[in-house]
This record gives sequence, structure tokens and C-alpha cells, in this order.
Amino acid sequence: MDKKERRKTVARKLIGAAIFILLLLLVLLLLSHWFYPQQEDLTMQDVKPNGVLAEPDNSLDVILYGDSEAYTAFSPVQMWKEQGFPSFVCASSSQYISLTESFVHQSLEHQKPKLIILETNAFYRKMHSDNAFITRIENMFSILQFHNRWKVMSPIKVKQTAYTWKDDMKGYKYAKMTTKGRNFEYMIPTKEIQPIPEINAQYVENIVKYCNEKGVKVLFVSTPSYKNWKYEKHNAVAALAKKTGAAYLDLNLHADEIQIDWQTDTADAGDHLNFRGTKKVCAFLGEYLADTYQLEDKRNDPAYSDWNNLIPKYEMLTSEDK
Amino acid sequence: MDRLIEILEDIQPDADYETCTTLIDDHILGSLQIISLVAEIEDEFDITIPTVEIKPENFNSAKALMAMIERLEDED
Amino acid sequence: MKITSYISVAFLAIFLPAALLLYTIVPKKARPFAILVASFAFFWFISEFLILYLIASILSIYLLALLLERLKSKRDSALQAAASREEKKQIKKQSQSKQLAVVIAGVVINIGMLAVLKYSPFLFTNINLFFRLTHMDAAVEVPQFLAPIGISFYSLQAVSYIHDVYKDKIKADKNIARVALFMSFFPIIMEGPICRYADTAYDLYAGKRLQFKNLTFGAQRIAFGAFKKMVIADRLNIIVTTIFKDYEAFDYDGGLIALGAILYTLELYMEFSGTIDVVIGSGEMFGVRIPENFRQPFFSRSISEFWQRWHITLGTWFRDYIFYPVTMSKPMKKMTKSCRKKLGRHYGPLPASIIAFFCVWLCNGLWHGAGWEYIFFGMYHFALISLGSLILPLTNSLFEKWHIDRNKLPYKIFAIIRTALLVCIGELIFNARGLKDALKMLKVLFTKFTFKSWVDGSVLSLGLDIHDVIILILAVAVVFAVGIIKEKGKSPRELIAQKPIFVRWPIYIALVVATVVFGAYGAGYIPIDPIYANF
Repeated sequence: MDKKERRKTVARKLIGAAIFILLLLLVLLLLSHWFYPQQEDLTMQDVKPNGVLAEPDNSLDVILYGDSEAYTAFSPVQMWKEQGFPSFVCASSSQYISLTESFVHQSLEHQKPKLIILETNAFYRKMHSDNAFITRIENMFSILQFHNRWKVMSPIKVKQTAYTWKDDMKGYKYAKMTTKGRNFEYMIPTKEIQPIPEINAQYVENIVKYCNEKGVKVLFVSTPSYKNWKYEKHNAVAALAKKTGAAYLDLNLHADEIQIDWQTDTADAGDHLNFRGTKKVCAFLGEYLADTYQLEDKRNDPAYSDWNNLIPKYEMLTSEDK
Repeated sequence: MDRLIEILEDIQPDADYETCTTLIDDHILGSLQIISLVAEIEDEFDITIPTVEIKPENFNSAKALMAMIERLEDED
Repeated sequence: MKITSYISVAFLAIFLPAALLLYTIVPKKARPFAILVASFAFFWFISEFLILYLIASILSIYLLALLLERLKSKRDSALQAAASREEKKQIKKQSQSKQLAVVIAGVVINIGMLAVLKYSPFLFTNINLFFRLTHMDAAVEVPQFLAPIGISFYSLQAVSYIHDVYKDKIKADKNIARVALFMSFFPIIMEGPICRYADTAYDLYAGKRLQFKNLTFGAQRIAFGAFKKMVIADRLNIIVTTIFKDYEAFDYDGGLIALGAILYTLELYMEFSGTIDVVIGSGEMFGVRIPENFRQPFFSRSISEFWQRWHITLGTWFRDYIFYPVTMSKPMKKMTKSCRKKLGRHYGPLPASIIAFFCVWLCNGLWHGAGWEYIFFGMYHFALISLGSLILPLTNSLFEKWHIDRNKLPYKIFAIIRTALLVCIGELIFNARGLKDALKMLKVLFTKFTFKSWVDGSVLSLGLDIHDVIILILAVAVVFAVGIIKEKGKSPRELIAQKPIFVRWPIYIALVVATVVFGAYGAGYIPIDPIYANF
């Protein structure tokens, strides 16, 4: 009798628990449906790279992607000043290559650049879950994938998501500080390879394929940084470039021409460049791009007068250079 | 017992040691006071209080303290 | 399978349910072994072959404790046979020194493993630095070891077991499975809490039947922990990383550094206490009561109170195995006695306790990591606590003069805020990339402080937008409300459980849905590694 009673309570509790779990799953499934993105409102979540969406359609010749290495090393206005081709740095702090891919897709919807540049430091950033099982669950409960859309769906509208916010620095982030590093030979030739995580390599291949279909060339660039770069990584990226048919320019191997002085040209001792380093990189890279890809000098093109107007402001913003 | 109360009052004057049973729980005796207390009691009663005895149960009231002291006196 | 955190699909959706299932389908007698198998499997997933270090620790304390027990019973029978008091004293003394040798062996083995695996690179690097600075032409090779995750936690448990057996707090256990369970129970192995044998070992081995209430309450606590970590800590991590990484390159002012310190402290709390919620909840599901590790630390009114509410099990470990053994050692007691005569009531016990505090905080700093910034972190708290004791008579008399009542609300609030700010400065040191960075950041904090960056919108350029900020504020408010309920001595889970089903269930579902929707995971967010697992 006692046992029977107990079985009954256990059964009742189990049924209760089961109903609860089903209810929870139902709510999540409903939300998954609700959160599934409509084509028109795919947005970039970072503020700075969003600036690219506000550029006039088909106005850019070069778009650069990557992490903080990219937005400290590449300054579009600087390159415009010297070479006269319009570009934009679509980089965000600690950018994942998966995010790069969606940036590429979104920016190429409105732009038809001659080429895009992928900064290679992001190739090595490990992504969280590359587990097939988890991916399958994620597909069913797509809320897990698209949960961040609550920001888009929220009633509070942020200025940036309206795509009218223009970045006068064109994605470049000005670093004025200098923290002395040291000058030494960090690119020691070797045959060793530091492999790129497989899933990242897959993403890169997909990006290159997508661009090729759109008729956009792809160039990998490694910015000078002795904290992040070494020959083993150069080898891996070179191999990936060969495999995908992308071009590769490792600025770490052009130390003689660029003349980076790690005592004065880095913001944080060998990790990021400061403005002095940026100018040197842009001088070299700008000339290289203009020559190699025959980018037209548009400084006298009236359609680009905005760019010329930016120069005084740019010079003022970067004049505190110590 | 009177000797103990005297010691306690010397260490931390404002508390009613006859009745209080939450000396530790209410932070009337902190670790500094306990250090003093152990040194004084050991001297006064000629015992050694091993560190395992330093637990809230033994220090929460004068009564508990006295019980511990008597126990340790017997053991010696 | 690779498990890197308790708050992960791999642990919560796969490993934990599998372990519970295994536990309930085996016969009652086999249940402890089911947990043991799960625990060893878990350790294998996180550390693979490094499990051998854990096994070595378990074997060492098991055997040494039995040896201690044997010495004790030998002593007791010898005591019975002994005739004179003098003889008895002699026997006691001899046995004592033998036992002490065994305890020291246990400490040397366990702390030794920890020290070699985690601290030798630090030590050797500094030896080389010393050579360089003294212009000696010598250098030693810096060794690199892989340390198993959780070694900082289970090593302390090992020491406490040996010590407690030695001090007759517990009996040496003849059952090696129970000792192994105590050391390796999978919810606590990565990030603590640091348990005592008397707390968990017998619960773990009892093999109690799974209870419905334990399962649901455990699940609720896990859900709340996941909420704290995913919605708050992971989101804060974005802005905190940016500030700590970029402060120099982008020349942030003191206001932003202060914001970084405050938010990092909050992140650390949400991360660590959230994980501990998952840990305790998992234990609860098995019917094992794991000691609490946090008690609303940000309600503390002094630094020493803070450390009684934050990472509690580490604090009590240091108190029981370092602070009291040091202050209660014979020479220290003597010193306290004579100091009391010379220095008076308040200052008498101070010399002994300051020496002990120094040991505690040096160890505390080092325990958190092998680096000068951690030692500095420890010394910072050592200085605050010692200073607090030193100036207490002064503040007391000032308060009397100014008629300030410490028990009035305004003072309480002042004390709570002051304590929290001091803690934040400590965590700034803790999270800096090194001692040099820590000092630089402190310099900026105190020399270039403005609130300009708080209001001119630059906060929103650090990776979080206005939506994130709103969610953060709401989520922190929820955790704060729960804290207030707990502070009043009530249990939020019990309160909710008493409500009718149409109130109760929506709360549970809302908690899970909020975590799923507002959790800072997926594209654009950087998953943080469990901060404490690496200590």
C-alpha cells in the first residue's frame, strides 16, 4: 500500500516534470520561429565596421577586414591622401573569421571593390563550438543562433543601425601612444608550419570562393607585429593562399622597405602599431596596391570630393601624434 | 568561571558574557580577540589549547569556553 | 568529448544527465562507484593523462593517513602500559614527532606537486632575472610543465585531510574509494569550493536515492548560475577586455580605467559565483551538500568581512591551516602574552596576527597565480587588513568625537561602498597583464581621473551598445534582488516553490528563456574561459 502510494506520487511528479520540459521546449521553438531573421534586417553588430554600410553604393575600391591589428595598421584616409583610391577598414576587436564572412557578404551587397584584403591574424582566432552535434541542435532551435536579434527587434532604435552613420576615419582607429618595444629578428625562416584551425581555414576558403564568384580579388595581408606573427604562421597562410588562389603579402617580411622601428612605432610593445607605424605601413601598402591592382587615382574625381574634404579633419585628429 | 569572565572583559569590555551565546556568530570576538584569549587562558589555567579546539562551538559563550577549559584540564 | 567549463552544453546537457542516469540505474551499493567513475571520466575529459597526478595525490594522503592512525593507536596502547607520568609524557612526545614527520611528508608531496607544476617557471624566470641584474654570467633553463586543471583546489583538500586526521578531527578512512571520491567529485574538481572531509565524504559515499526536490532545486540553482555567467559575465567580458587591453594604445582616462576595474570585479563575481551555483546545484542533484562559497560579498562593510563572504572556502582554509597554526604556535603565543603587557589590549595580539596575515596573504596571492601582480594583489589586501587593525583605536575615538554611529544606515552604506571600491582596486591589480601594467593603470587611475568618458558616449564605443547596457542593468538588478532576499535570511527558491504553478512555472521558464535570448554567446561574443579553473 505504502509502496503503491509512493509510486503514484513519483509518477505524478515525473509527469509534471515532463510537461514542464515540453512546455519549455515549446516556448523555445516558438521563439526560434519568431527570431528567424528576415532578409532585410541582417545587421553588423559592431559599430565601427557598420560605417561601411553608409558609404555610397559601389564607391569603394578596396575593403579590408580583420581584428584590431587591421584597424590600427590600415588607415584609408592616409592611403587616399597618398595614392587616391577609396577604401574602408571593416575590422572589429577580436574579430572571428565567421564574423568576417558575414561582414564580407553584407558589405559586398552594396559595394563592388577591385579587391578585398583579409588581415591574417584573425585566421588563428579559435572559435567556440565546432561540434557537429551542437550545430545540429542549434539548427533545430535556431533561437540559439539568432538570439542576438533581440537587439534589432527591440523598440529602442540605435542610430547606427540606420546605416546613416558615417565614419570619418573609414574604420581606422587612431592609436597615438607609444610603448617601446625592441628591435630584433623575429621572422626566422623555417619549414615548420603552425596550422590554422581547420574550421577557420574552411571559412577563409568560402570567403575567397564567394569573392571570386563576384569577381572580386582577395589578398591576404599580415601586418607587422612581433607579438602575433612568426614564420610558422607565414608558412601556413602562404599554403592557404596557394590552395585558394588568393594573393598573399606578408608585411613582416618587408621590414627593410617599411622600416618599422619597434622602439617608436608601436602602441603596446610589439602588438599593435601606433600612428607612426600606420603611416609607414600605409605608404608601403598603398603604393603596392595601387601598382599591383592598377587602382585609379580618384583625387580629382568630383564624385569623391567628400574624401578630399576629410583630409583636414583627419590631419587634425591625428596631429596629437607624440 | 569568574577568572574567565575577567579575562574576557579585559579583552573585549562591552559584552554580557554571562548570557551571550553568540560571541563568534555576532563578531563580538574576532580573530584578534581569539588570539589574545587563547594566550591568556593558556597562561591562567596552565593548559594548551590545540588549534582544533578553535571552532565557533567552543568560543560562542563563556559557558562553552569553560567547558572546553575543564575538559583540557582533565586531559592533562 | 572535451569539457572546458561547467556552463557548457557538453556538461549540462550531456555529461551531467548521463552521470545522473548512471547513478540511478546501478544498484544502491554501486552508486558511490558510479560517481567515482563519472568523476574520473570527467577529469580525463579535462586533463587526460594528467589524471596521474590526481591519483598520486589520492594515494599519498590515503596511505599517510593510515600511517598516522597506526602511530596513534600504537601510542595509545603504549600509554596504557606505561606506569609513570614521566614515561607517558615521553611516549606522547615521541609519537608526536613521528606523526609530525608524516604530516610534513603529506604536505611536501601535495604542495610540492602543486609548486613544481605551477610555480617553477615563475621561480626560475626570477632566478634568471636575479642573475642578469647582478651581472652574473649564469642562467638556468626555465622548465615548462602541464599542470592538471583543478590542482590548486584538490591539493588544498589533500592537505586538509592529512591535517585533520593528525589533529584527531576525523579518523583516517580505510576505504580508498571514499578518499578518492572526496578528492575527485566532478562538480568541485575544476573550481572548488574547497571541501573538508567531514563535509562531503560521507554524503558522497552514502549513495542516497535521487530525490525529486533535490533534482528540481538543483536544476533551478544551475539555471540561475548560467544566467549570471552568460547574461552578465560574458557580456561584461567584452568591455572589460577592451579596456584592459587597449587602455594604453588608445590613451583611456582614469574614469574608463575605474569603470574597467568595477566591471571586471562584477564580471569575476558573476563568473565565479555563477559557476559555483552550477557546482552546488549539481551536487544537490546527487543529494550532496557542498559548502557555500559566497555570501553576498558586496554587502561587506570591511575588507576582512569581504573575505569571509567571497571565496569562503579558500578563506577558511587559510584561517584553519595557516592563520591559526601560525598565531597559535608556541613562540607566537609567548609573543602575544608579552606584547599584551607592553602594548595593551588592542595592540597586544597585533604583532602575531600581522605576521600570520602576511603568511596568509602571500599564500593567497601566490595561490591565485604565479606572477608578481598576484603577490602584489595579496600584499594589497594584507596592507588594507593590517592597516584597518592598526588604526582601529584611532577611528574609534574619531567616530566618538564626531558622533558617528556605525550601526546607522548612512554609515553602513558608506562602509559598503568604500569596501567595494577598495576591492575593485585589488581586482584591477589582479586582472592587469603584469605588475608593470598594474602600476601603470593605477597611475592613470589616480592622476588622470575624469568622468568625461562616462558621459560623452565613449563607453558605448567599447563593444557594448545601448541594448547591452540596458540588459546588464536589468540582469544585475535581478541578481541584486536575489541577494537582498538571501541577506534577509530567506531562500528565494523556497519562496518561489510556495507559489502556485501558474506563477512558479513562468518564473522558471523566464529564467531559461532570458539566458537563451540575452546570453552573450554566439557570433560577436568571445566565450570566456572559466577564470578560476586556471588557478
